[in-house]
Amino acid sequence: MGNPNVGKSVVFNRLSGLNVVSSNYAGTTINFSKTFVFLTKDKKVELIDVPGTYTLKPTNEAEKVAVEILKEGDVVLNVIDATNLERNLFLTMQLISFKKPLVVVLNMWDETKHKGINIDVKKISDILGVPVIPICALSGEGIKKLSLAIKDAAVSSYISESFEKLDNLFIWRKIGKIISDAQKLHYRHHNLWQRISDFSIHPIWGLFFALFTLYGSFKIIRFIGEGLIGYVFDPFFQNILTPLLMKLSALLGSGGFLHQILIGKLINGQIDYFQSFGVLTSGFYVPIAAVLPYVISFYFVLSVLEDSGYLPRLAVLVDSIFHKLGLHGYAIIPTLLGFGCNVPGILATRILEDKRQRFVVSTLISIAVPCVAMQAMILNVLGKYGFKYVISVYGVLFIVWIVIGLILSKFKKGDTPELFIEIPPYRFPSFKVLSKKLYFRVKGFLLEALPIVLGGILVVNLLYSLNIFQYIADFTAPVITILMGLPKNAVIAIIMGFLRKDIAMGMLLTNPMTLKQLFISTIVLSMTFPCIATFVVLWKELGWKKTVYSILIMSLTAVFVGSILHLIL
Amino acid sequence: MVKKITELRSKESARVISIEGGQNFKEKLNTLGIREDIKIKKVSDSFLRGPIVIKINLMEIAIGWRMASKILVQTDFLK
Repeated sequence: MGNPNVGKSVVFNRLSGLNVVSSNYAGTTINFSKTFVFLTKDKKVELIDVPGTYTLKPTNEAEKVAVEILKEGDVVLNVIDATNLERNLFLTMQLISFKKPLVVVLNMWDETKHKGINIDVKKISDILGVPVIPICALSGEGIKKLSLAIKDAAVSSYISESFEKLDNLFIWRKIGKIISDAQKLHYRHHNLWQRISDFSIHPIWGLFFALFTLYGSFKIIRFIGEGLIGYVFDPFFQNILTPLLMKLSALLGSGGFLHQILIGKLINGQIDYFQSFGVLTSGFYVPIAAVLPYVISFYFVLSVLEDSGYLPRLAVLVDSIFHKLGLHGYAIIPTLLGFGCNVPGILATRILEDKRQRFVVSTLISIAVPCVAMQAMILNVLGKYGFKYVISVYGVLFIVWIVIGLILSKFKKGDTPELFIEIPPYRFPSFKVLSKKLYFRVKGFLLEALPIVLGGILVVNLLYSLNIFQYIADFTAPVITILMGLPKNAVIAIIMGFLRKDIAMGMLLTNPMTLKQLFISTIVLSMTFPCIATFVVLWKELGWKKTVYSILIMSLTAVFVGSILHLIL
Repeated sequence: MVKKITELRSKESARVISIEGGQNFKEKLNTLGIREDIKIKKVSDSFLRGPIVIKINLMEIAIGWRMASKILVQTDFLK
């Protein structure tokens, strides 16, 4: 346990060899993870990674989880940011009053040295009467010692009062005693990081910095993504797989039921990986060659932003704008995560204090934040006609995001708590942590996406041959054709968006469409009801009533915006 | 001289002398170490009444404008 952003998850990963996502901002861990670890050869214990909390009097969901888990634990590993000893000890004192065996872990030990902080570890250990272990979790220094020290965990008698009787002033006095005995400071001011930090939260320069960073991020994502597609994935499919698949196609007689399912439709006698729509053609090409490269590049950039410590600064900068939507600046973090995948985005809304904000942010993410798979397809498909169409999609979604945000803040009134967060120092992202995080996010994408895409295409082809889609298309034709000016079969793609938005986008292409129709249907597809994974997580996080409400808002907005675009374009 | 944190100039140091507000509010500030008698430094000003950033020891904290305006500080404590 420990304060937010002290590196509990990194310690957890080190001790367990597991890979829980860690970042450089408060609130990365919103639920607990647990695992069994061997401390020594024959000693096996269950280790629980707990969300960060400043106090045992919880103020948000994640902190409530932390307090609940504390009640179950037998030994508490209290992870402390050694560069912020005084503040971190507040929780330590509260933990001591719970009378559980304790080990104090002084993390970020390496940073104390160049920040001019001198801590007498032995003295703290003597005062508290518990093991105190300095470590550097990022590099792994001290972890071995820590795992050996767990068995020595002791109940401290430094504070004898029970938790209920503790008074803050008393705690600070007790902490003051430790600090004056065991810590000496020789601050060194203003290094380069500090200067960048001041610059990036400056109300005016900071905004330029933010625009520049976001623009740069987008450029890098496209550069890496397009590079991977152009030089690696697409050549692989075209040069190696296409000849094989064409042979198979000939073998199957270039048509028939099995051909339709495996290869799909031949376009001018050739396989077209976007339009053929067979399990072996589009089924593999869409997730692997069209989407995966962007998943890699997006998560690379996002991970760098996360680990550097920039995101909380961005939250501070956008706070006054976000308040107009009844949200506070921290809502930018779930929103940015949502651009990767809506699921972690919606889960991350737990760092917001109240239910109203969580509903609003979750709904806004589902409507106006396309996930990376969807964005990759937008780039692949609309990008062909010109980049301005891609930008226009983002523009429309951004306007929708603001308008729906304003409307929701009028209808769902509530007092938005003000921003009150710790800003972590900038850190140079650790290559090891970064590559591990990237690896697990990419693996997660493949495990989740591939089966659904392959299965989805199979089902689509079966349903096609059963003509079921025809009934649906005829039934919804008035809305789709008259209001939004789309071919009536576009509805099938939109319905398939419930499975995954990237296959749905691929399906749109199987209909002959004008550029205008493609543009409108892309936007409608992004906004309308969420994919199944997002749906499940909305349900779990908001409850069924609010989920239904949220989906109604999405569908109505989609139809409304689709119709408006049809009128004005 | 006593003023609100919001009235401090950027880079100015001060000592917190009182916090106006209820017990919950004080409790919340307390968790991040903002309490009476500690020394703070204003790092950056707000924009459109957005949050301001202060520094306590090595830790930087962003505080919403309204919250910050309830924290009273004294600037001439150093003399």
